[in-house]
Amino acid sequence: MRTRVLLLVLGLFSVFLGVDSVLANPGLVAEKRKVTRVQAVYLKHLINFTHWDASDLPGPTKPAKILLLGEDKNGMIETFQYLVSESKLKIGGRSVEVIHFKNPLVPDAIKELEANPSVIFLLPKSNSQVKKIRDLSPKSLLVGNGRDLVEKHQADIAFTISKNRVRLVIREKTFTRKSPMLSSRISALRNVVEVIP
Amino acid sequence: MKILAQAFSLLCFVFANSLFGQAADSNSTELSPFEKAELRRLLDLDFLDLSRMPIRSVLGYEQEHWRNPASVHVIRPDDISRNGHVLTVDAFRNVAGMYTTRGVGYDDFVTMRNFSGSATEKFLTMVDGREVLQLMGGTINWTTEDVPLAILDRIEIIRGPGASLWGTNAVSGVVNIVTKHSAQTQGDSVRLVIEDDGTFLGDFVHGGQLGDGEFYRFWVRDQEYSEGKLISGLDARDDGYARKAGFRFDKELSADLDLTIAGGFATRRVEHILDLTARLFYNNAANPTSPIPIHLANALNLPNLPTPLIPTSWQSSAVSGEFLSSLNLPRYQNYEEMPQDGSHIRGKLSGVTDNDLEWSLGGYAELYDTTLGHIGHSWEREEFDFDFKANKPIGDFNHIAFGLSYRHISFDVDEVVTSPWAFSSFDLNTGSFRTDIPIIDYGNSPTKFERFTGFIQDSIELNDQVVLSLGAKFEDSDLSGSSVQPGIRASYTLDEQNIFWGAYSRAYRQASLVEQYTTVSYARIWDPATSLWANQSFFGDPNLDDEKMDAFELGWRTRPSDRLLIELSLYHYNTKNAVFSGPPVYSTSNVKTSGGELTFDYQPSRTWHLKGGYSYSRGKKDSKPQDDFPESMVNLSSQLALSDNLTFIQSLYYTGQRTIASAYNPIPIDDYLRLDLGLIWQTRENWEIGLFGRDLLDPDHPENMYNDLDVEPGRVERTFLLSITKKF
Repeated sequence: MRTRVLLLVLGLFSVFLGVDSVLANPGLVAEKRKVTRVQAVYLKHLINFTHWDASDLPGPTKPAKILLLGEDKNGMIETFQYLVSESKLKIGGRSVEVIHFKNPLVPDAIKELEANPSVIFLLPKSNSQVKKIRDLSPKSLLVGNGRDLVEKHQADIAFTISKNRVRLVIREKTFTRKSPMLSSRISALRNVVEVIP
Repeated sequence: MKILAQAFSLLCFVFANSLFGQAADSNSTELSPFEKAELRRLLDLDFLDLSRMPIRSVLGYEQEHWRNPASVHVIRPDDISRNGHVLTVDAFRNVAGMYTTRGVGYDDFVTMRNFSGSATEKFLTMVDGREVLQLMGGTINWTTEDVPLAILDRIEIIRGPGASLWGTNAVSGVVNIVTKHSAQTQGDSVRLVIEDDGTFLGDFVHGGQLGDGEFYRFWVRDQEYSEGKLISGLDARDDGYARKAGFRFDKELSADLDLTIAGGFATRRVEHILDLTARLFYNNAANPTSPIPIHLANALNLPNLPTPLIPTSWQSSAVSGEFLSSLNLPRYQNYEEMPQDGSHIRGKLSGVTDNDLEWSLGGYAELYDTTLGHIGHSWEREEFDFDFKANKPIGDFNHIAFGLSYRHISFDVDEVVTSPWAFSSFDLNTGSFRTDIPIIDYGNSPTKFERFTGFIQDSIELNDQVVLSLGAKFEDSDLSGSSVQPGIRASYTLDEQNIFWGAYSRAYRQASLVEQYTTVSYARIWDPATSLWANQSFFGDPNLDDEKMDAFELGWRTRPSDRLLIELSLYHYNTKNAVFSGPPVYSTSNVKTSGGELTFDYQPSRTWHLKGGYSYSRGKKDSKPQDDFPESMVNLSSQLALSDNLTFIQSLYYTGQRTIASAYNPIPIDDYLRLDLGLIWQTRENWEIGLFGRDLLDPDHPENMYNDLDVEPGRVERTFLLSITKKF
């Protein structure tokens, strides 16, 4: 009886594993949305651990701006806006305004970039315009996806996925420059952060 | 075979639905209420917690995932302190489906979903992976296993069998207590709780950093019990103390390779009672199975009574002038010391490989020394456990978890005869007269046990709507032989607000060592024909089969908004060989239990949070209705922020009536309603002062006791409590 139970369980297991390989590709969307949620919370925490000089922020009564650039397929905009609202996120004591541009090179987006927003987050597949964005906004905290963004394109922080976890790759200069400056406490979290020169 | 056919039908239904069902709009960028609620929870996590959050995980590991096909309740430290609870076990009163009661001041009893029998805690309880069920008696010492709130991360309560993932004894559920990483407990924390009756608890925790990626903490606790009253008004003699200490060291050996070493020590000194009121009998020749209490025989002037009527050694246990009214007999009782000492050390190496294999290799050693002086039974237990666990995503749809473990337990058991029982009696087992017959005799029963287990579980995301979990635990044990404990669970996401889940599991509970191997001498009978006292005993049964339970569960989880969660869980359990104790033997019965829990969590505004639950449970033992578990229970808790730093707490608990089962003195416990009110003032960022009144509707009420051991329940009294906490 016990052997038959085992065989039945293993048989069912095999059937499902076999069928898995035939079916189309479900489940990834839920995974990507979870990654997006974790990244959004990381971003909120990173902002809390970043210091901006007053001269790099708008006037005390004006909101600090966070730009999200690129195509949003996984709900990052709504996720981050929800977090800003829930956590009452502030930058330098100022309220926060979240703005999204699907195309970072449209005139309105360029105008906002030239105003040096506090944070720029590049949604996936926006990395090709990083250099231009950086040239337009040298004083923004530039965050995005993929190690190359930091290694090759001089962004400040990038999210990566390794070992089934969301991790951070951070340019060393982000901890040492005057503004915006990320707290060096973050660099001590070896399981979370990889610092590259 | 019928069960397997039903399970297979369930699988086919789920699979068919996954092929033909309409997929949810998974490409929407709008957040569902479940996602919003998860985001609020994620906001409380720091960088370290976020870094440990797996993107894909095994179903049943991440208890708060909304697609988890199980009935789960998670307790956090604030749920304990903000409800005026002192210990973690007190917080189980807020968990629908759990029946938590107090005996005397230091005795807590917890059952889940209408489980009874001689060992009440038929669920698996772990503290940081260490099983804490006492194998000898099948109970848990909640005092010894409690941890300071400052180091507690969460308590996950899984209602329903979780054997395929957690193992044997996870019959009615699992309680998984998880403490924080040392890096999260840096600095100093103090907690003081003082009750108006003088009961006191004080915790001090200190954490620090030794170097890069090296963190530690240590903690000490003192708990003083003040004496309470029994329901008759007599002193309960339950004063005493418990002292504990512990430490933890965490080191990041490299990226994604961590070492944890932790340990603790606990000591408790209290007294406990044994009821001796109805233990001396006169043999009734007309009906030998119904002997007559000796005092009644005396009142009836039956022939050839013993001289003296009460043996000399027994006389000092009389409570002068007191009668046990339920039996109309003079009261006899014996108090003895009940010292308990426990210590353990555990280590764990864990990591994640480059191909996403998450693994841990751990072990612990434990030494536990206890003396139940009131029954003259003591034992020292040594335990060693080694385990390896791993999980890994396979392709895009599967996530496999597997593991192996080995446990070795050895006992050194000792018995002494307590003074009342030290009079000459004829021992039917040895055919001789003895003055040294212990109440519990372990004899030459086995004292060394080994257990090998393995498990495998696959979580399969069939599509965005359906998640399926198949698993089994394989066990080979000296105590219960070989077994396979399968389980299948599935969840179906109907839409953004509604999830349904179902499960079938088979779980086993091995009989405790007392149930299997002891001879319990519970009475002495005077035979007028021979003018002798004879010892009466009943015997454990080494051939007791494991309790085997087939469990069917259904659940519905709905979030009309991110501020409101409603959950309904239904279950039907069919348990074979459930062990019940009592003379003349440990008997087994078939028990069928049905019931469910309806819970809600509602936060209508930033200033008001409401939680509550209703549980219903009805059981039949060998087709007769059981009355030893309350049919209905309700809990309701409200937290109202009166200002930024002042919160008003109101908690209401209702527990239905039930009977404390007994071989000779069943005690009905009326239903009771309990109201707790509290005020919490956050004086500064890390300081909190709480003032609570508990049981405000009733000066006192009884809840529970050890049946057939204790004389009567203790009074659970109205109390006022002051707590002062300095957090990290």
